[in-house]
Amino acid sequence: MYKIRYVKFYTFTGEKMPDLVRISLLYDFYGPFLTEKQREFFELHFFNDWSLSEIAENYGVTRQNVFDVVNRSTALLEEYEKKLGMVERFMSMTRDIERILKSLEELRPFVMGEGKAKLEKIYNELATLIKEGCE
Amino acid sequence: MAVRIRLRRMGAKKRPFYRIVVADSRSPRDGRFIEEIGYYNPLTDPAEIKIDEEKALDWMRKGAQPTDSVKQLFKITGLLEKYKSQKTNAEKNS
Repeated sequence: MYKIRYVKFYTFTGEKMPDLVRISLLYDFYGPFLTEKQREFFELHFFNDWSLSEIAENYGVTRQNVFDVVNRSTALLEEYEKKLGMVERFMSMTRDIERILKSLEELRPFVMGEGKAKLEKIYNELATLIKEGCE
Repeated sequence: MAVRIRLRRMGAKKRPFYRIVVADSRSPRDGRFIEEIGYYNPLTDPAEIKIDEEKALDWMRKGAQPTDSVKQLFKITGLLEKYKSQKTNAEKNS
């Protein structure tokens, strides 16, 4: 058996790393608008954690070229978000549902009898919604 | 053969979740990796980082290079500091 260190921290987006959650969500919503090459480099860089030079080396292109493609892709995704706002909407909806779930949890001990089953049903439906990404 | 410690995205659409994996620097993106040594879940509040410390230190001692983002996670958990102090201790003793 080995030891696992379990750590929690609070400010992630304040750190140097790009806001991976935002990048991921932007890509999930608008990724299909990118070209195949843009998607490939984007995924390698952000989801497989390859450096720009590593991608360049592997594809026989210049680092500058990879940089341009990744940068352009990110800018495009942000552009779509500016016009459509799906990520923002998704995030605020998720937050809202989480808040309601919390309220239901607080309510749980006070609900008796028939109401109890009803509460659990609502709770489960909301929890499923969140799991499925509010589709 | 260079070995790197990378973050790799897993999980469903719109539910980003990242594993910390040890992989050959040239391993393609088909998902192959040598070993999983932890994960990073940014969706919980606070975000959750789990790292198998011994494995991570062991791989780094063998020369596996963490990427910048993994380094960032190691820094936050204090693992990088630990690695550095172990290294200087080892150098002193040799």
